[in-house]
Amino acid sequence: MTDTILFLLVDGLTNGLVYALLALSLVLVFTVTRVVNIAQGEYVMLGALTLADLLQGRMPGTLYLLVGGLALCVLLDAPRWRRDWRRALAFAGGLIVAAVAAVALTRGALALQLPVIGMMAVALVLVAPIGVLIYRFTVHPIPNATTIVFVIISVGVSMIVQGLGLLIWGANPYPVDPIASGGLMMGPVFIPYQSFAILIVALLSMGGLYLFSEFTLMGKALQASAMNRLGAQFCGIPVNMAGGLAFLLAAAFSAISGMLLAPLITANYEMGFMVGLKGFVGAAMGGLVDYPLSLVGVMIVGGLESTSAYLASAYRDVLVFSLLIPILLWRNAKQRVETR
Amino acid sequence: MGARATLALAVSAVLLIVPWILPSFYVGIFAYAGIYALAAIGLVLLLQAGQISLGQAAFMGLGAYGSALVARAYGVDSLLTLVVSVAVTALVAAAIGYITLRLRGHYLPLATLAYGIALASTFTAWHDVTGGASGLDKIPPLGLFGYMLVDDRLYTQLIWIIVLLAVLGLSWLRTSRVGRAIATLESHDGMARSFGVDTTILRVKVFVFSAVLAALAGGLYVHLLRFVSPSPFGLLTSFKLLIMAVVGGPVSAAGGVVGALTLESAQWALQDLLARWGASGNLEVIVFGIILVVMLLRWPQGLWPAVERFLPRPALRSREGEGLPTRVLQADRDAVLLDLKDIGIRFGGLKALEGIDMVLKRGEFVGLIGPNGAGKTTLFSIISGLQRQTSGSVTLFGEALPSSHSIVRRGMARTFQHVQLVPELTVIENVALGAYWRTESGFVRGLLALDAAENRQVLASAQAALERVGLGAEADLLAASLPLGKQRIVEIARALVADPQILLLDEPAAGLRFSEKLTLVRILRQLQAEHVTILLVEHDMELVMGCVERLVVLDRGRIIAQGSPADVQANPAVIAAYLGGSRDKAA
Repeated sequence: MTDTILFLLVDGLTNGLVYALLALSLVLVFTVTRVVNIAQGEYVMLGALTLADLLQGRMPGTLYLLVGGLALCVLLDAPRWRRDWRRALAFAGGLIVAAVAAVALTRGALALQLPVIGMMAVALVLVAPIGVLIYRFTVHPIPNATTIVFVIISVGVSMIVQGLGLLIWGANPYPVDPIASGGLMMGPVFIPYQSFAILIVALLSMGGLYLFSEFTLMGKALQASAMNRLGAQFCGIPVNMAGGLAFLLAAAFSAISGMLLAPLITANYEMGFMVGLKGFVGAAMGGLVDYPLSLVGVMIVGGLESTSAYLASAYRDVLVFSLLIPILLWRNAKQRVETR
Repeated sequence: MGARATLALAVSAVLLIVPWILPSFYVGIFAYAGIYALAAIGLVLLLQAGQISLGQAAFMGLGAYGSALVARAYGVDSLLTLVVSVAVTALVAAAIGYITLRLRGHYLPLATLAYGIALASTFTAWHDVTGGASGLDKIPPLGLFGYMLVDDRLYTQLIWIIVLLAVLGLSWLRTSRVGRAIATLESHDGMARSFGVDTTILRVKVFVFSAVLAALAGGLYVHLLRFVSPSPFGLLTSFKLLIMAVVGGPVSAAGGVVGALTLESAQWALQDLLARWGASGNLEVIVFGIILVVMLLRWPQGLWPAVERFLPRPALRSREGEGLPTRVLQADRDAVLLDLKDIGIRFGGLKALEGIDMVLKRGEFVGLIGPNGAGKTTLFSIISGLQRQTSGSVTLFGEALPSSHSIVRRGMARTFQHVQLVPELTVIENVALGAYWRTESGFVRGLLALDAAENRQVLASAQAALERVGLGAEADLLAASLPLGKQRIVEIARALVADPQILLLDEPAAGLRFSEKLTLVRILRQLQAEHVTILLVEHDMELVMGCVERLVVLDRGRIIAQGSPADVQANPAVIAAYLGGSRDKAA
């Protein structure tokens, strides 16, 4: 009995940590841009599949997305050529250099046959900028739209990215190597090294975000835009840059989450949506604005998930999501007392 | 008949003829578009009330499974099982709504997501009853007393009749008493309660009606398809319905229909075209996503508002004839109407108010002044029941202060410092909200347009109040289009329509022009002559000193002086509070 409970605890904690990175991304994007990003899970998929390609020595299909997106960016910039062709040229040139650099980096990494951690870094460099591109295409043009419009737009983005994923990678699942294989017997339970890796990488990422927001000017600009967009704008903070930055960091965190998760479940084109949803559930427990509460939220989701999967697997989703409502009511009541 | 009504009738006629002239393959598509439109219309109503639901498809599923399983197992006429199934779904929705609609912010959509997935997963997991993921076939067609509706064209026409009736009903509801109240739910909860709307109950009603439309759609779906399985009632359909509502434009029920027709036809056209060009099936979802994103970037308000701009405007509802009967107040100047005893309120460590004792007698005109941050607005919130004091008691007409939405029924109305008009409603509709408690036409009467006589009276009263404050000509403009000063005056007109015995005015003159201030003073004097009791918070000292009989001065949460305007003006403590020093220093 104790073994089972311990096992479920470890399993729940591992799941929770993976969702935590996603919840973090959602909170980051929401606070800075007010976008409830349903498409956040797709970066999980992109991260996982890019890593799978790199580890098997293939040029990752993500490059098509990245280069295509950069090209579209240059196209959308067309009106500027007439006003200020020098800057437009510099912009287009910069993007072309970026595209070439991304291809070169990937080729180099494949030639050197980097270890898993190295490939993860390369995959991160390929996936994270896609977040910025999506910000440029779908949020930047209509900064004042309502929440629900952004929700639906992000559903559209999710469809597009998932469809492209299917087009590029097909419907087959891809195995992904863990950072370290094997595991450790701790008392009666076996803990795979990957769980430790997840713990370490998740903690490092969260710590990195914390240090970045507290101790760099850009991080502070991000915080300011999150607290008061208009006020930040009046202080000379380019809020569009802050929005892009939020999307960049969020894409990076989600991609990491996917790369950590993939060895546990294999990667495929539709893995992102459900993971995204669970991250959303966790993040929403903190009202999408509170980082520590979001972490508690995802741990609850992770725990509920492994427990109910063990107890009644057919009713797993029923249990997870029904138990959510009382928790929400409790949070809601508590929050109202606090604000009164 | 107005141009708009004629046009609507013509479009409806076309929609009802279409099932008879389409090739039979497309009849089915048109039928499903109607079914989705019905469920999406429910979502439009929810969105108007400020609720985002990610669980609408689950209610479709309840309606579908309920009707299909009973009709299949017991051979009951399926029209009856459909009605029962919709009724049961309404009860379930009432229970779920009662529990979850108290959630705020992102908790609410999250809860809808939760029960949406939980219910949908139940359809799959409860294998013995529902047939599990593979579903159940041999569902009887829609029938009554042995007559079976098996003609797809006739069935499709029936679906669209229901859709059109729903659109008509909701367009009636939109301009009714309850419709105006629904428009406040998104972001004016406190104001709505101050004018007698029980927002909690109203939210549940909206939610239940939305679920009823979904359940009806679900029932029509299974008896058309004659097969039931969990997949059409999952999260993806909930998202699809939400997409339809938002793309169509969640401002009017017609938006739901436009959204459903656009997206369904786009989807089928894409499938057809891409298959003809030999493209793979993956492209469909990508192109669909691109169309969706581009449409929302181009028309963030939705398609229907973009179309509606070119249509003739709907006919205005009649406001001829007598207004509502008003009460005549007695000149009993000794009656204590409002009695505050030792009121205190703390926010964390901050004592915003402490030891406030105050009495309002019938017909009194009292000014409440004090520097910014003295606690005036907080005291107003306590008196109007929007905030609870941490200590002390409020007595209104000799009884303890009732819950906030009952206060106006006792005879106390208020205006707000930060103007609380519903921007999407016209000026007269905003003013008519003031008469909410004086009328009683409910949700169903609004849907069926049985409220004409009462609504005419309400609008006549609202128009009269607008004329009284000098805004008669602006009655049919959108509230958001007025300058701030006029919006404040609209607030006063709305409070007047509530026929109050006590009127609480929170900085009514801020942002008013000189001529508007004169109007305000004239109205206040008239009200005083009618023995209305007035409590006025205002920074314009000339106006305050010229009007009020008695002044109460607040500073840092305490009353520092009370008395006639002349006494208070000479009070050293008051001068110190306003000028931040002793009288000598200030001089």
